[in-house]
Amino acid sequence: MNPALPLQPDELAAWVRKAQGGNREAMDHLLRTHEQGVLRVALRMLGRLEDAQDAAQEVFLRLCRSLDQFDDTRELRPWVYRMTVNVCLDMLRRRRTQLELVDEGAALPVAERRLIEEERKAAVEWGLSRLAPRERAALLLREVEGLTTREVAVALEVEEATVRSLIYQARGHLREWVKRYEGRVRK
Amino acid sequence: MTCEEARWLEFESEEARAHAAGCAECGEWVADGVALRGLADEAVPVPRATRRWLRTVVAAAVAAVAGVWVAMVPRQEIPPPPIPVVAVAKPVLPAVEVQVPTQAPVVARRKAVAPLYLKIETSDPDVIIYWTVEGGEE
Ligand SMILES: [Zn+2]
Repeated sequence: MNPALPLQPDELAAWVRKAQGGNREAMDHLLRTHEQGVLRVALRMLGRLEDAQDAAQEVFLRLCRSLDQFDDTRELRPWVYRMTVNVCLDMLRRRRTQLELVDEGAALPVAERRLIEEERKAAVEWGLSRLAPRERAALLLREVEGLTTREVAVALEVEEATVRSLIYQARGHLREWVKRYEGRVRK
Repeated sequence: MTCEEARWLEFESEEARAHAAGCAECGEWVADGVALRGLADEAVPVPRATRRWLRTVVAAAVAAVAGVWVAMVPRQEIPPPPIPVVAVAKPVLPAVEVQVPTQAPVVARRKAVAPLYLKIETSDPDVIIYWTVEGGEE
């Protein structure tokens, strides 16, 4: 279950206002509400837990520093994810290579998973890691984090039509990678 | 409805879902979507150090809101502003027409005020104080 979902926009706005007023509990609440979402996106964007944790720290630091400038009529969620994606893209650029690519000939790590759903999940996870960072970000926000197309557009700073196009392309590419994964597992 | 149309709609309409139910390849797309959403169920571990760090961040942020920013991370040193180069221009003196007075200016003189004498009688009939106040203020 997505921990960021239960809060309605007006509830969230109320927490934001409290936090802006210096309420420590509200600030803590906001961070915890977004903690898992930020970490999940960062982990899938960066591929390494330590990097994801570093990214999350950077996101929360930026969030705390700039919260007083935040216009609470805008929704916080896409704003937090925008920071997350930007931090991850910066880290990827710094790293120069997108991910430590899995050696094509190496055995896949979850080849022995028995359940079909688990296998599919593993395939999808692997496929995600092969996507271009921008497509990966769009899919993560839309499909995993459950943001609306409009929210993804805000997070990625693009038009909604671009988000639809990105999602469509990303899903197509993901399908190709999943097929490839399944083909190798069943060999 | 074609495969492309159903995929473009992200299988969110009734018609698109009906298409996926009868199309093997689109069924795979739908299954990928289910697996993607399943990734949200996984909790990413947050180490204790991160939690402690988070609390520090919160404390600092609250302090910042209260106007007492705690410098908890090395912040970029702000270089001093460059010394401004000031162009020195020769002052242009306005042309002043000098008028030579033809008659002495009339200066308002303060009226001469007569000194004020105060006679203060004390409890001792032999002692009387005389106080002179000269040129009283107007
Ligand atoms: Zn189809």
